Amino acid sequence: MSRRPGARRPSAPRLLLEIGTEELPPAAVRPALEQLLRDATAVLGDARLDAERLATTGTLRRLVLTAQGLSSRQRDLVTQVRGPAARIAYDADGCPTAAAHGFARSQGVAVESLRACEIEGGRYVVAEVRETGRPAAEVLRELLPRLAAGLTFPKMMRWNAGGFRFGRPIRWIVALLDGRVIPLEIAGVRAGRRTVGHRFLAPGRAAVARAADYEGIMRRARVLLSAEERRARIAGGTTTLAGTVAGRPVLDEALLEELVWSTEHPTPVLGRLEADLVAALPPIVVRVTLQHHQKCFGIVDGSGALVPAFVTVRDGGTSHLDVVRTGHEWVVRARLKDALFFLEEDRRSGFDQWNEALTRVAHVEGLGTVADHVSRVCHLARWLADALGISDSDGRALDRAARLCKADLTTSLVREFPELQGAIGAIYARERGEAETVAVAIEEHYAPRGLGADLPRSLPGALLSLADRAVLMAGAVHAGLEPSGSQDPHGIRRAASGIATVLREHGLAISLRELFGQAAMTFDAPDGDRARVAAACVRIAQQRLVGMLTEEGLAYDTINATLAVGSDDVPDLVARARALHELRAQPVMPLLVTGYLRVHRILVQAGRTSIGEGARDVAQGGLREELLVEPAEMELHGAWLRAHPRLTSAAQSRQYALALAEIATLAGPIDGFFDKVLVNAPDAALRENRLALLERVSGSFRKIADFGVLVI
Amino acid sequence: MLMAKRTQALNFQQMILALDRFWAREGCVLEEAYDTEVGAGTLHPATFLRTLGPEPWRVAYVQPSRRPVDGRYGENPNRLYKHYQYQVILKPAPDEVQALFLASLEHLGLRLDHHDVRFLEDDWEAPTLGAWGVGWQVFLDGQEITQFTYFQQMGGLDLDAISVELTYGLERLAQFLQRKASVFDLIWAPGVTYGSLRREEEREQSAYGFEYADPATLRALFEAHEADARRLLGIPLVLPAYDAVLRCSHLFNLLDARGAIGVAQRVELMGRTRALARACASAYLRQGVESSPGEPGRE
Repeated sequence: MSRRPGARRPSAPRLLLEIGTEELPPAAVRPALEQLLRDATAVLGDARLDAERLATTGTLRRLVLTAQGLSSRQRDLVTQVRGPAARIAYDADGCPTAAAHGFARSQGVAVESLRACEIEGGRYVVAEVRETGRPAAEVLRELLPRLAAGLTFPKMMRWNAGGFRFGRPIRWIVALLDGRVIPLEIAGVRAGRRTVGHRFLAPGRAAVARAADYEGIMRRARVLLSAEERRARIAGGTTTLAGTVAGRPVLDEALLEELVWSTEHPTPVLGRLEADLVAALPPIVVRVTLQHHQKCFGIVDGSGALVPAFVTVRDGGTSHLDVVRTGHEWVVRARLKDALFFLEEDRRSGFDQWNEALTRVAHVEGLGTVADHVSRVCHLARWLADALGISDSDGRALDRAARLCKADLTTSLVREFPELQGAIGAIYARERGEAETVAVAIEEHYAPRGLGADLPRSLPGALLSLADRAVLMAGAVHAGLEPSGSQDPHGIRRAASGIATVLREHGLAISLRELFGQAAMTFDAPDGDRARVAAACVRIAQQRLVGMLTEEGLAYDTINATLAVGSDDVPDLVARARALHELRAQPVMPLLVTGYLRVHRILVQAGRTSIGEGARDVAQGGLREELLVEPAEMELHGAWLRAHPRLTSAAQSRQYALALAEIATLAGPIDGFFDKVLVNAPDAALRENRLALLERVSGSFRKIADFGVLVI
Repeated sequence: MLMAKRTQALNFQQMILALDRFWAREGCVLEEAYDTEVGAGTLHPATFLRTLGPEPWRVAYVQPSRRPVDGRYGENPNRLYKHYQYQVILKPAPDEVQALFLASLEHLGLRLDHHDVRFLEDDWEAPTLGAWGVGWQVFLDGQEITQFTYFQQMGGLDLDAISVELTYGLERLAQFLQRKASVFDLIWAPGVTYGSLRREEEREQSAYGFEYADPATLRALFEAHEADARRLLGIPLVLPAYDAVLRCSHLFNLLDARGAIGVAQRVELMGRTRALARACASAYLRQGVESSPGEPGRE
């Protein structure tokens, strides 16, 4: 992390600030270093101290700020201070008056140096006040403690250092400007030149004579300051070790990052396990034990199967690695045996007992038990199956999976490995002879587990995922737990995103209003309350959909134009929005929108409110062809007669690009119509007939979008 | 296996003796375990109440900790109805507390530079006590051996002096040192295993907790102790009131293990216990801590 403003100053001093701490939370170190660099850049700039190169680096035990080519003093500050009006400051002879003398004195400048200037229409005397820059050390002594105190951590703590709050206690400070200690104090700790080495490899303190020596001293103290170097050591060493057992490591990025920031001198160590112990457990249980619980990398062979070995990362050197290896092997083996014990314990029980236990597990507060949730999900899943008319076999799988989907929450294995909910349920379902589709749906109903995560692939899995999330959303809104601001403790927005994504990717034509209406029905509440719940859920889901489409690059008004009319099933909305987005790049667009707006305006003026029901078929009634007298109106009518059936059938098959192409053919005729035809003709019959024509035209537009919302 | 060759792995009681000696030398009062059932050493008044207020305090004790839901009839090699915590409180936390803790491990015969010792972020929270802190789990070659916490709040109150709490999981540590896969195979004293002392208790207490505890009786006892706690707080007799709260807390745990409390009731009973624990903390602070270490007090 570094920045290089300013010009080169070869002999300029070098700054070192090392904030030595007890072990910070690994995930907090990188953000803290980034903040330190950002704040230091701003603060030094404000203090008129130039640095050729500012950088931060560090580990969980030290946050380090360095500046190379630092100016030795602040730049002088020259400010113009306005004084009294010139006519008061000088007498008729142009000699300074008492007022001028007083002002000069107050600014600490000679009265001769005052100048008269034109300011805001008046003439005033101005003093040029030069504040001489102070030595850098003096300024830094004040700035650096403020910089440290301003660092924020996700969770701040106190530790008997007055009211000082930080991520973990600060235990030493090194603050040097070249070879001189900057005598500052942070959290009651006085800065010096003594740093601390690696906790076990170089215990004890080491003196830093000059700031420039720091990196060398750290290297001798066995601390690898560079995160990239630690990462390379971990990833490279782990891959090499895995190769010795004919495998490659599963280099989980999150684990790698955690290890980079939780070690100062990482050394990978290979451990081996009994093949039969590993084979006795579901592979995912082994992987999670290694990765999440023991912070080790699993190893797989060419076919992706687990090799009975692992790589752990020691924060230390290579001496006595055998002790470390046997220790870790012993612990991993014990954890795996633990898991095996839970697996065997679960095998003595079954889905009925686990489901029964769900009646004692709390769901979101105010919504009863998880068993209550499951029965609601079953209900909604059945409705989805009927509404979509899915096959009998899918329907049976969905029904069964819905009943079993949360049962694994009360198994011993999931209590031990909560992150395996769903996966364990699927494994147990297979063991107990449930259909494969049921097992898959149980596992998949938790998908997507986050933004961009895998989606359910099977239809029963997708529908169960929808039902679970829709019931959660409706319940949360019903219980007054709607997300607000950045607060969304129950993951309602995430659930809404999941619903929108699953509907889109599976192309499920389910109206959001109906889906949430049905979800609200599963709660015991007055109808008015249910309607409110459903509406709120639709709103949240639409917001997520808008977000997703915006990320695709669609404009807000495009999305809003599609949301304003027509069906509210997600695939349809997405298809219309994407088609409209494409059309907007074409030259016909401004004419089309203007045309629509003219149609719209005149219909509103005429009190034709029916245009609000855009999708209504207006082909019937109202229009009498024999009353079309002007060529321009006949032409518009002809164009509409050609376009309308085609766009209707294109829209029915959701080929919205085709439908919009038909609409685009109306742009010219509409323009011609308004040029040549007087809608508000004196003859009432003609007028009504023209309005009827425009109503038809408007209706065609509104099959796709409300063009009036588009900003040209 | 190098560890196994070192024949002098401490037995269970030697481990406790070594920790006692070490922490006594650091100025800790060697307290005894509290004599009411508790789920953790933190609930001992020597921790929960003594960490309130500004007075310096250092204490160490072994606390048998009962967790009815974790009972496994003595059949699971790693899960216990009752386990032993070695608890140390240093108030205020000294600057060199990490080094002090590591020295205690060396005192147990560990050569730290031969191992992989890690302080991995782990924050602690006990909502029923209105308590939280930040700190680490300390890992020794991948085995979690100690919870290391800087208390920040206790009984819903910001602490005047920040205490550090060290909770050694004695079974886990001993299993690692003695290389015993089952807790019941641990050597407690020469010729005496952990299992020979404790397995029957595990079996019977699990049977009681899961099958034979009478929910109606437990519930009546909960109500009675709760009422008593409130009455005693009114006098105020804080320490007896706190004892009553501890009983409520344990009764709640028993009811929970028995599967005898519904979801809504669970939240409610926890809330009631929390309110009483907080009231005890406030009352304790209000009446002032006349008893400081070394002086005869009201306890």
